[in-house]
Amino acid sequence: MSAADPSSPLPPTVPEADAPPLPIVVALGVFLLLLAGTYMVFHNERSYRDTKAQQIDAQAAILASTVGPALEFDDAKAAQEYVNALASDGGIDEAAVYDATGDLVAGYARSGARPTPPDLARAGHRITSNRILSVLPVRRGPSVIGTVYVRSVIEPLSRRLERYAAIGVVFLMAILTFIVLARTQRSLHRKNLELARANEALHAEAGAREKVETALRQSQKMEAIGQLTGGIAHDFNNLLQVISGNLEMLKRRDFALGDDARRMIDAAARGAERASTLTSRLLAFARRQPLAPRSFDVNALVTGMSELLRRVLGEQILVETVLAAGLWRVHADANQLENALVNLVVNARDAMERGGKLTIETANMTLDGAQADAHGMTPGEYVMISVSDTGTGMSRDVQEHAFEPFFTTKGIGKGTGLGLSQVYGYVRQSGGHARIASEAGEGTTIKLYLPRATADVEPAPAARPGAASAADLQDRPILVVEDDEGVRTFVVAGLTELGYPVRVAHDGASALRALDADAAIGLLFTDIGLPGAMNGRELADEAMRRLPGLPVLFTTAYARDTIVHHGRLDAGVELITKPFTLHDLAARVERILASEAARAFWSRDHAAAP
Amino acid sequence: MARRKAARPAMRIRALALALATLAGFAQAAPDDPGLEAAVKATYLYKFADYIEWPAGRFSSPADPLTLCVAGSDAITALVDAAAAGRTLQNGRPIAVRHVALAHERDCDILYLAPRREESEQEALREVRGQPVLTVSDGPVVGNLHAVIAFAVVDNRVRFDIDLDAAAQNRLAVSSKLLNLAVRVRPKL
Repeated sequence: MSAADPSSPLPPTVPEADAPPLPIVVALGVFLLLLAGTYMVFHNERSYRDTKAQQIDAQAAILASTVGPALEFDDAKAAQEYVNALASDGGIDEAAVYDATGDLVAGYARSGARPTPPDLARAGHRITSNRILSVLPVRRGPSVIGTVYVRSVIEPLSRRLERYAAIGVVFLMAILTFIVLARTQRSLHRKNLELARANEALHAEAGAREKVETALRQSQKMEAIGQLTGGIAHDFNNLLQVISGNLEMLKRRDFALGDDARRMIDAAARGAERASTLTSRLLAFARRQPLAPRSFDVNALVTGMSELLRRVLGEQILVETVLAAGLWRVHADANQLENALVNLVVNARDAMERGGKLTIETANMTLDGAQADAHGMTPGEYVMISVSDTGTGMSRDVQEHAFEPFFTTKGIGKGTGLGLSQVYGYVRQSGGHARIASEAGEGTTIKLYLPRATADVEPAPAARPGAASAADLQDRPILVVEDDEGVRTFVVAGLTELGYPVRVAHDGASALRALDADAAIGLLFTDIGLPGAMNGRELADEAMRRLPGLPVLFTTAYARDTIVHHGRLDAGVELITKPFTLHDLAARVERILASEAARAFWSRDHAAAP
Repeated sequence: MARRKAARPAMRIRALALALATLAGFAQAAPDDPGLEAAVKATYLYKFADYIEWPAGRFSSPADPLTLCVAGSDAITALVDAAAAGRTLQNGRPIAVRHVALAHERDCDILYLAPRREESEQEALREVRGQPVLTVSDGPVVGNLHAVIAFAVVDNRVRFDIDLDAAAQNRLAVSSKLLNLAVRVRPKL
């Protein structure tokens, strides 16, 4: 059901494709650095040689210019001094001065031997693999008076390699730095990705949480509205009980009533009845209506309703039912489900004024924890009943309020705003859920989830008429406990009219006193909501402790949790909801008195009685 | 006139002088041989001129020749003449060799006092004192007045001393290159 899955763990590693192709970048960077390094070494080597050659040329030129006078004045000693001065430069391994005929005047060779002059006729420098030599003529004016020769060793290869090794080390460092940076960048990138994913997950989780919170708020709001609605309906029911009860009493009495008076009484009674229908629907929303749940097959129910639905929908709307095979049975009030479906179908019809298609679908549905949480539902097994139309649909805003009582988009007088609220209240009270899926203009789907029946919990078989007739028992007084004076008066009057002796109490304490005072009491008829320390349920418990097996009939303007657990009546508990007619009351009292349990109680009581 | 007279014998012995000069220049000068010594000295004379700076205005133009006066025998004059023949200074200035008698040494740029006669030497030096004349004596001067350059023989080689005091008196500047080659340099007083 849910698209978001916040529990999915973060992937431990990021796919390689997301990261930059590091090896290629690094290899390229390293290659370029090596290339640059090699170029620098070659460039250095060349410029070193050029510089060296220039230096040697310059030294030869200096020697040539300084040795000129020495040659002119045949001063070999001075010439030798110049040569020696030159030779003090560590790089120069040979230097010599020759006269015009090419004879050596002064010379130096590091080896100690005589200098080995090259071709003196060729002026300029020459570079060999490991030496640079320069030959320059010594001039006096236009004439050549001698030649100088200077030779230098190029810095030994080992020394040069050392220097280049230094460059190499620098480049190595650069390469290492590059690799480290690349690695750092890569891991940063990975961290970023992980962070982004974590952030995404966080967002998804926050979104899911928000959804849950919205669902929770919505349900709390519905709960609050339900409380309010239930309270109002309860009070109304008490009032309606007084009105309709007295109207009935009025009719039953043999007053000399004219036809007009009878018509007026009937009209008032009809009004009260309609008001009673309204309050019962309010109670349905408030989840305060007494339900008679039983295990039944929803498919059979839908099939059985199809004729009714077709009549409701008219001819312009196509009906399709998609009923799942092997559908689980549900445990709910079947009559109320029928009401709910009718309500939904009526809404669908109103949304499809120009015709369309209505689909009723059933399916088994298992909600796990995550799915249920995301939608504010309870995990478990459900039977889903969906009613879809192709009508006008609902906006998001309308959807939010659709289940609220008195909310309606229909025109004044067309809708009560209680249809969907009844559906909602009924489904919730039955332990299920109701959901709306709709898009404005796209139609609406309402899904009801009713809990799967765990076992066939059939209600106790209806009481069979027993041997003892009601007449036999009519001498047993009925203890009526009711705090509302109007209702009490009506009930007492009604029961008295039916021939039952009546004892009266207005709260738990006085009821117990009445019980103690009259051991013959055969039936406790009590309102559930009683003032004082003891409510009706507690009173019943206490009374049954004192008189085991005492039959009890509860009444209520709504069914509170005291006897209605999760919207279902406890087994064996009899309840009549207000407003009831005298006829309803008589029938219910007779049925109880005729039941096996009552008989057992009575016979035991008889035996015990003196 | 004197110049013309001197030129002729110089021409005659040019071949010899060249040979001597070559010997002096490229073989080691041999002072044991007086003739060779003289020839070496003769070649040095004009070469000194490259390293001496005469007062400004001494030469009117680059073509104005340097006058090299030889106060000595005809033979020595001839040797000098032969050595300088066809030569110029490094800056291209021509060289004129002239034989002069002592006390008649006018318009000389270089005065070579060839014969070793003390009295006449002192007299000649006194004569040109204060004038821009490079005086060259054939050996260490005995007396109060010194020549700017005095030939000397050291280790059988022809070398020279330089007297900067005398040079200064005659308003001459001596190149350090020449000073480097001097055996002794007498500083300016």
